[in-house]
Amino acid sequence: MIRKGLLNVLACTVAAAMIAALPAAAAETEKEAPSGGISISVTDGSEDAMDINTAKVATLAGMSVCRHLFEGLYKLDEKGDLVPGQLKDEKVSDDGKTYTFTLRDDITWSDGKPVTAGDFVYGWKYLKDSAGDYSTLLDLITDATAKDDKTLVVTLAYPCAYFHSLLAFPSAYPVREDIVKANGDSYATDPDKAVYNGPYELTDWTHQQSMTLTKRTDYYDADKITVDNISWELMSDSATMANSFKSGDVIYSDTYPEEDADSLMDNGLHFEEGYNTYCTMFNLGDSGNEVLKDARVRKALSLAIDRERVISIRGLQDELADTYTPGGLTDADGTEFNSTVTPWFSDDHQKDVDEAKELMKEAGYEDGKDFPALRYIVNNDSRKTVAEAIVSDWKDALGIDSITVETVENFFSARESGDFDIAYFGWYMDYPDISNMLVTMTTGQNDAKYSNTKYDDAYNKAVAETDEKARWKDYDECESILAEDRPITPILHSKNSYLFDDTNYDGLVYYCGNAFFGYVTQK
Amino acid sequence: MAMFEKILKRVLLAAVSLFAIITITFFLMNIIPGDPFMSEKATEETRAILIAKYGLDKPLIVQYGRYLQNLFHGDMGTSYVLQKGRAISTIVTESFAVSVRLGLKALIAAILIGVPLGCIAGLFKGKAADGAIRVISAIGISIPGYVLAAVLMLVLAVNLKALPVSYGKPGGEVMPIIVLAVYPTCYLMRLTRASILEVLGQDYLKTERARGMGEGRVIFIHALKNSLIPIITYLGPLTASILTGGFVAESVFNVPGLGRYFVNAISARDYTLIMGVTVFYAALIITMNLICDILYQVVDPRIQMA
Repeated sequence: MIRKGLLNVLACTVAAAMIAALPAAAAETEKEAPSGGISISVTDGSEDAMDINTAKVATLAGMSVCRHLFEGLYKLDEKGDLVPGQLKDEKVSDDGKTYTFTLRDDITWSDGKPVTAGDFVYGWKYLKDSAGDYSTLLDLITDATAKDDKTLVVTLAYPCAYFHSLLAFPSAYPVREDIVKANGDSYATDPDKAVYNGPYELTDWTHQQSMTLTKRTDYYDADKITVDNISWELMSDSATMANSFKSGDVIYSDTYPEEDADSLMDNGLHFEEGYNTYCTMFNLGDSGNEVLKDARVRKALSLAIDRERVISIRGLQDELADTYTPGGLTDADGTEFNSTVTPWFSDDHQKDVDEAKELMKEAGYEDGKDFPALRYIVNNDSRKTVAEAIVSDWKDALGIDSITVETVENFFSARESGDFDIAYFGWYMDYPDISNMLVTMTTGQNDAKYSNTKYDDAYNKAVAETDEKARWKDYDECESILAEDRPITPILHSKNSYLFDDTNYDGLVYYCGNAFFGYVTQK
Repeated sequence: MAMFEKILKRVLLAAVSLFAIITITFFLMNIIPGDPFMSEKATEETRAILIAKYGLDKPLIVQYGRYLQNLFHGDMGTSYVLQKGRAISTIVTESFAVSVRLGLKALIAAILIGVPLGCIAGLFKGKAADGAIRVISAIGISIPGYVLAAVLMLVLAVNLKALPVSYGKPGGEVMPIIVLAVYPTCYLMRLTRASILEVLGQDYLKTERARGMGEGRVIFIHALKNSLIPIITYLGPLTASILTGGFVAESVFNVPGLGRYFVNAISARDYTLIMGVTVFYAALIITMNLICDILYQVVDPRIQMA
């Protein structure tokens, strides 16, 4: 009996291996490494600036290039999944708070020196000191010590379910202290000064024009990297980027003119899960209008927005947002999380509008009577179009005609300092873990000045929770508290989009707006 | 001695102009709302640290004083945003070199094409060649650089795939040079034509002809030589404008020249870079004007210096 069972298992294993081998073998014959490398174009200049300083990098193009040049304890594999990078072995204490990392033996910097545990310790300290956009990313680490060159012991403030995602993020990469000491911050502006521990090294950087990345033959996993050279065209004009793509000069472009979306639809335009939510934010702080402190008013304003119409106006394949959490995040059972939580809206918009009217009546503003004048601020034309559509919904549904939309120059500082009543708010997740979304509504983290201890408690409990099922329950509670309070109202989830020549190429890894080209093959 | 005094006065005036430009730019730039460290992801604390690190929390007048002090020591600081941590002096010299390389080629092309065609038009006034050249120059002068760049790119790069879109690739210089050169070429055609026509009507040429000089000699020895004077006068400001006016060509064809920074540095609120670019160009133009003035003075002491 046992024997038979064993045979069965064996047979299955062999069959599975054969099946697995089949497509692989077939793929082998049709895919090949792109000869002479590839060219791609990314945004640089204007407000987005290319940067290879992992402690400061904050743009998607900059983070993408860092993922080629450097590597953390974890990295993305060819399927875009998190796998150990510079890491050989990891041990976690029973309370989930202490990690002992052992580094691989065969990892080196591009100048030949081995990557040490001390490089990570210094990198994380340097991150903190640099005061970049992500300098607080690793704040949950209370202590990081290099026991020896290959052993790194890390203590966390609380057990963290998404710690691996953080470790794969460019901000958590190792940094060489001697290089920073010798060159200061400018070490990361010059290919002659910087050193790299990732699959590529930067061999040329003509600022505002191009970067050339060359594969490192001494990278431990060099066999898997199919592209020898990647030329990054640094551009600031979206029409030029689309033209470079159309002419075949580049096989990928992270930007194109939005108005060209239709014509590019069947010609290389790709949409991916954007892991973001486009919202309207209400100011609950002292500087915001009193009327917005009434939860009924906020809910009424939220329910009255015809989100379908906003999406059709934008015409960018957005998804309707029924929750703050975007799609693409699966819970303990593998189900899409935002399909399990109670939606903020009903399926029937007219029903929502009726409820909104009722709420306004209760709050004392029937048909918009006596509703105070409010300022709705946005930061560009496309967001202004959306805001105007929303304001017209409020007028049609609730009779409110005292809200004005304004595009402001210093948008982020204006919103941060509370100089608004209603504002655009959008959050693009940095790594696909729900905590990165929900943390934005905790006390002190949001410009709505929203603060609810019940929400904070549920959030803090969730991130420290070791039991996966219980954790998702806590997240669920966060969503429902938020739906009740509505300091923001979700409108839509936009898609990430880019141009990629998939007629001739394959193997692009795309992760939260970051692209990795090392596994690209020619069809 | 009088001349030396005049020149000294002119140099001092140039220095004062430069100082005024630096001062006005510095304060205007700080009036624009926002700061270099704004973003959706930045927290209040990290922004405060950066603002303090670069001394932007100090009173404006203190910042101004410190900027001037550093400038006198030849230190223009480092870029805050566009090329974080890189020295402004490096950025400016590097990108100016690119603009000059491209600008000079465009300038030479404009002269080599514009002047001969203008001569032909002038000499064959009213003939088919004149008509054709006049139509071409009218179109060339009125077409905006942006439109020309877009059309060239669509036809030559996207459809015919004859040239690369981006400057960095082989042949990538061709389209930006065309865009830079079209206006001055057409302008030179007109100027040369008008100038030739004026000279041809002059009495002394009639005299030469009357004295029996051949038509070829009249044209080449006298007409051409004299008609070049207004053209040479125009070349001064043209050189300056072609070296500074490359924003469209540089943005569209992705040329890493200085022209792009005029706009990009401002939208990024990259304070040190805005100042660096402005100071550099102001100094360049003031110096060129100064040299012109002094040369005039040397050539013809009767010309009054402003």
